[in-house]
Amino acid sequence: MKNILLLLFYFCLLNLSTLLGQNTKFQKIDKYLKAYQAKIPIPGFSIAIVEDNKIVFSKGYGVQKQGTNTPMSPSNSLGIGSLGRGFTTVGIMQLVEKGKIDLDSPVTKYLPWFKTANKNFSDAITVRMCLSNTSAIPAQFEAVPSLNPDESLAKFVRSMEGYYVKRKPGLAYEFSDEGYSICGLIISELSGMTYADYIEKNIFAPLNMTKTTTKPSRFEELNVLYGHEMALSNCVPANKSAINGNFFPAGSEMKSSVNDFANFTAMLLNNGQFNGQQFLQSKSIEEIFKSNISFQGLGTMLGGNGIDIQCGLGWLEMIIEERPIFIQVGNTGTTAAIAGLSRERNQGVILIFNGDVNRLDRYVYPTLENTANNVIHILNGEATTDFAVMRFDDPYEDEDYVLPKAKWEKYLGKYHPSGQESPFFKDINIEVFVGESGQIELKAFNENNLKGHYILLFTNESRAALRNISHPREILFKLFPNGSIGGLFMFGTEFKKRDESIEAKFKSVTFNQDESKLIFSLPENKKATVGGKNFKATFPNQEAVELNISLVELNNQSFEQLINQRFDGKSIATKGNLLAKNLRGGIWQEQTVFTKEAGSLKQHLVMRYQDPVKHKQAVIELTNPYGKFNSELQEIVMYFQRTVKFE
Amino acid sequence: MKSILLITRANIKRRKIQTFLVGMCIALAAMMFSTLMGIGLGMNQPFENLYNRLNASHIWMNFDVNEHDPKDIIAWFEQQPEVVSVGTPNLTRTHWKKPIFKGKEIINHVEFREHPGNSRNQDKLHILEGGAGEYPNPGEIWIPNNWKSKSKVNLGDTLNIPMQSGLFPLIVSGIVINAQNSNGLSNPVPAWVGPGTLPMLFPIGELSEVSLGIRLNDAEITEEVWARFHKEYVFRGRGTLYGLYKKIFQIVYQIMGGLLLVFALFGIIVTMIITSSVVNSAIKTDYKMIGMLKAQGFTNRNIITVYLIQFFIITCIAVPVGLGGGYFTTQLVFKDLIAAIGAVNFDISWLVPAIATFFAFIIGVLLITYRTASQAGKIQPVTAIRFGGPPQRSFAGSKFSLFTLGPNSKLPIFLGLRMLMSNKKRAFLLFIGLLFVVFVQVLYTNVDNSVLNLDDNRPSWGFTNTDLFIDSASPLEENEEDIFRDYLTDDDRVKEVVKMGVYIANLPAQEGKAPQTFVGFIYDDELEKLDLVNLEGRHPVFETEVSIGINSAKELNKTIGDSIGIFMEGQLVNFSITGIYQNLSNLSEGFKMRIEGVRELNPLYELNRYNVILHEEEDPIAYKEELLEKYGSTYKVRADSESQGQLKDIIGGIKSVFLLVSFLFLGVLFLTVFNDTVLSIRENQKNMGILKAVGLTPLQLQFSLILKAVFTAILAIIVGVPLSLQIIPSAMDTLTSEVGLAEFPYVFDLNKTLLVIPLIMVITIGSVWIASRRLLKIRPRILVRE
Repeated sequence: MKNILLLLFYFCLLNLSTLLGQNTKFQKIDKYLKAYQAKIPIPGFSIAIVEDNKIVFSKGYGVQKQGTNTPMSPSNSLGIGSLGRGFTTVGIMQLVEKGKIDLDSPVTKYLPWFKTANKNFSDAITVRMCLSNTSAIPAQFEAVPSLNPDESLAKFVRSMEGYYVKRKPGLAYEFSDEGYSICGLIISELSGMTYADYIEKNIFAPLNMTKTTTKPSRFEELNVLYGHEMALSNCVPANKSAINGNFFPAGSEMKSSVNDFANFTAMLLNNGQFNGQQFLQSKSIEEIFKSNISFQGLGTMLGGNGIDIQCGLGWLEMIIEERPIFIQVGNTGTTAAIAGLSRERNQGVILIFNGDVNRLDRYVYPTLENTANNVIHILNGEATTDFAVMRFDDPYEDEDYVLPKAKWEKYLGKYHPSGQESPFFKDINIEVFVGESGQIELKAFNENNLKGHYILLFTNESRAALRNISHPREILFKLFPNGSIGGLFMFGTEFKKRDESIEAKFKSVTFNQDESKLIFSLPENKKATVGGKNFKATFPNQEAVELNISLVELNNQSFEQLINQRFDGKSIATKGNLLAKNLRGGIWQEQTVFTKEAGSLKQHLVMRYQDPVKHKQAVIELTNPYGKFNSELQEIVMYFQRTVKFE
Repeated sequence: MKSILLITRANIKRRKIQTFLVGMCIALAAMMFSTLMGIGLGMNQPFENLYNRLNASHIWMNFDVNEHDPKDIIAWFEQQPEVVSVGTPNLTRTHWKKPIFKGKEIINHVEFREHPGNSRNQDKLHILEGGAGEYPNPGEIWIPNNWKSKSKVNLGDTLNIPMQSGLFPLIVSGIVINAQNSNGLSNPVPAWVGPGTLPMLFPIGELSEVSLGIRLNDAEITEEVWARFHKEYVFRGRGTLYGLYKKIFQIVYQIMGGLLLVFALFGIIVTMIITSSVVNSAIKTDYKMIGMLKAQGFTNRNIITVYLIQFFIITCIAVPVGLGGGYFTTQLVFKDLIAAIGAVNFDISWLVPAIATFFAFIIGVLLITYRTASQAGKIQPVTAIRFGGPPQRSFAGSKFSLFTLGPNSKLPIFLGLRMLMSNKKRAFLLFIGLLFVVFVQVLYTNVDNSVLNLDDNRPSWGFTNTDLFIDSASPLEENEEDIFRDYLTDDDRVKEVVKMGVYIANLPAQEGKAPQTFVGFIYDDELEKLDLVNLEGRHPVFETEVSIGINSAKELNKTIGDSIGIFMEGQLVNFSITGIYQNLSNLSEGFKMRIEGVRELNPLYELNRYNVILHEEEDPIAYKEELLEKYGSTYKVRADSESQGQLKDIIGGIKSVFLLVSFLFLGVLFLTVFNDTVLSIRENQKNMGILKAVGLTPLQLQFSLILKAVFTAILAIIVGVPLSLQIIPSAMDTLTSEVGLAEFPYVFDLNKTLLVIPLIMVITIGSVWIASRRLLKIRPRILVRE
């Protein structure tokens, strides 16, 4: 009996020490993350750790929103970006298990109409290539926006007929959202459901992921956090951005919490089992993690080891400090996420941030990869390392050039985008000014929303580094030998310095209709009349040109229907491309239509601005005889578009 | 008069074969003459012709309406006395996705321009096909001619433009050229849509760029007006001036045009020689008849008139036949030219060469006829009737005895030599003709060799010997790039790795000149590693040094050791010129510099392109695929061989034009020798009869004629080949210096040059053989009329 008691005591002691050890381990992680949180200017993040198929640690750090006290929680839903690709992969594997998809069959087997501009190449693209980023379809990030996300996925995949594939499919790794969009559409076509419905029903529900969705209609219900933009020394809350469904399957609008994603991770680590159910077959799990191709790993000067990264289906395998870690990283510009899985130790770490930690200045702040890796180290009782920490100094630190104050004036002013804009930097206007810091500063705005605030650290008269909490990037001012500044190049977009005298020719106009108030700019010398529900304007020296605006409640009418309705009975000779873009949280669409009237052609530029927040839409039509559209009319429409908004 | 006409008719009827041969010779000569004249005129000043015909703008401006109000700019130019007209500001948009035709990309990127219509009378488009309306209808496009030749796009085809929502179709309703970009060598190239139709393709908010053309009363003052504009107006757009358009145009024309003009000149001389010989020969054949006519009372004048009418009729029939041939040949040449450079500058009327050829031949033939017939007037009727021909040129003075020669003796050799020496004037003319042919063949062979072997001689053209261009697709940090560089340099297959980048600098305003863009190439290592060479001096080594293109040196009046101020990184910096180079792709303008030069101004300046040279035995494509597999999208890798499509197309076009001209001259060679042989036989009829009677076989006689021609050909080769090799390089330098090739990269190929010799020999022998075939059938009795 005494022996039995001793044995029991011994076992209790052993469990206690294990528990104490576990607690110590998580305390260390907690301590480490608290210290980390204090270092970074991101307001908050949350973490979940999975070990042996269950969540062993989850916690929020910091606050949900800059300037508030609401703490971050592991159940907060935020944008996870490319982490959402994992769901598309699992969706495809489910259909593989049902015998509906063969990974190595061409996409055209499931989407027979699918083609790129050179069909011989697109015919060779397989489902596996799409999931392993080897389809050779270049990432163009060119969205086809629509207020109906379910429609826009199909439209987007069809729009790839305009892509010219320049490389043999399957040859090399190239990051591409397009491949996932194609797979998302395949899921939708084969399941008879929208992509969002399919993953909600077949992945999120069975895995108890109640805080995860890609449906914008559920964002409010889930209290989604939209993250933060970066400013000089801190973050500022980001506004809800415009949504389009083009890249849903690549994770563009995927919102999730660390707790939810931990369930998904647990399923993957547990060979496809979740809560005792076989969610996915183990051979599917192996297929997901199996390498299809590799590419160059993180170099030593960037804190890596240069070992090639193996590319599975949506997951990348990195050899970090001799351990294979499967990782996924996602970012949205205002949020960021990382998931790291050690399959050999059955451990997983998920971190989601309410600021894009990937964009933080890597010379100053720890990187996302370093933090995730150290959490795994602490979890395993190991010392932290400096993996993924930059090994070289900030090149701007020693920069001693000072732009003479006498020359500041010419840089100051407002800059407009010119020509084709970068897909990542659309509808941005820039202001260069002398800030409170006493230095030249730059602010980038999307409408009135701040997209970035920087101090300009000039390295000479034409170049300056953008400095704030984000990683420094260089901008180039276009200087002319006569001393004037023509514009600047920033993030792949050319901005022209605005000629204030041209802008002065335009005046703000307010068109009130019922409870709608549309504000826009038109030339000061226009002649405007308001009759009934219509606003009409004519312009001097522009004979037979009319601009008509009508305001209506936002509806589901497609643009094609709008055109058919508008020109009902008129003979449409030809139509232009239907062009669409996100504009101030809404959608701007435009199409040129030519009608034949009394034997001659008439040109109609039909535009629609839809504001889903105000639930209003404006239909604008500029009409002129064919051959009379000129640069002056272009300018009128351009300024109109630049200023139009509902209030 | 009636009797004269009757005799003329009888003459023509009686000597049908002779008439036919004479006619053929004149027709062939006329064809050659008109072809080369057509080419010559077509090549002469084509740029100016087209520019003026289309009322093209001398200043072409592109600017953003956010920056400038077009009205202000128009107002400024309208006040200038030199300005003839100011165009309308038309929406313009460069699209960096190439149009797709039948699943393939078109060769160029496109600058879409809205065409306001040809009735505007400025910057009109030359319509080659279609173009029914004033401008393209909505949904239609007028394309530059080189798309037709290069990408085989035809009227009615559909071009698909890659857009945001997929492909947007545009139907080709016109194939056109504009004056400024007619040779299709610029990229992007303009294509035209109807006014106001760009919003069919592009978002209206992105269409803020307009183009505006200014036409001046004198092209030569373009720079001056542009400089004044910059002085008085703060312009932030870009302008392209007449001079640059002309230079780009001349890249190909300068080389081809110059050479073809040389060929044309040679051709004209040779054709005149042929015609003269033919007429001479024909009259001499009628020697006996002339004697008889004179005996019957015909005056010299009557006889001259007979021949004048006879040859006038033959010429009147033969020249149009030749003109027809010439027209088709010229079309063929220009078709190749068009295919080569995508231009149509054959804008002269065919009427000019036709009329010129016709009158030149009528006058030429009549003059020769008159001269020869005048000599015929001196014919003594008795001698003529008795001997049937002019007194034979005897072999008197020869040291060998005809009767001691056996059939296997060396007689044919001596005979050949004697025939050659018996008519020194004709022998000289034959020699001159052959000399031109030799010159043309050597020129063709070696210029063709130089151009075709561009790949083996790239540095001389100003290109590097790079096998692979690797661009960083993502801006990685400097040290990370070093790892990649180490990877490349550690690879045994890699010979050299040099990073480079293009730098758009400016030259400040100078006396009578506006500030201008000055494009430079920056390298991070020794330029020698890329095998780049200078015409003079050395490559830049230090941060204060640059080398400049020869055309920039000429334009700025700079030489080695001079200082040049370049506006870079917002500063005007003075550099010392260490070398002068030529570079065809950049018209030998701009500069080269080591990275240290820019780093002095911007320590963080980075280059983004690796130039990789592999060892000779390595396959660049295989290495490229290996890099792609390893690095994926981190780097964009392009093999040099994949980026030379356009250059190779042009070279191919040039080659076919030269080949055609070379063939024409081989035809001339055949004709010249053929004629000479026929004349020799006639002149030596009696001697040949005697020789045949004493036992010489017709084959030996043929052999002697062959030897006669071969002696001349050998002489022409001995003189012609070294002379050509001496003259051609410097002639080519002169021809190509305007386009930046101050030293034409002439690659002499001994083997190919030596091949010219047997080629000329074979044609010479073949020509004599065919011309003297009848000798085999001739009986001595007929030959010996005495």
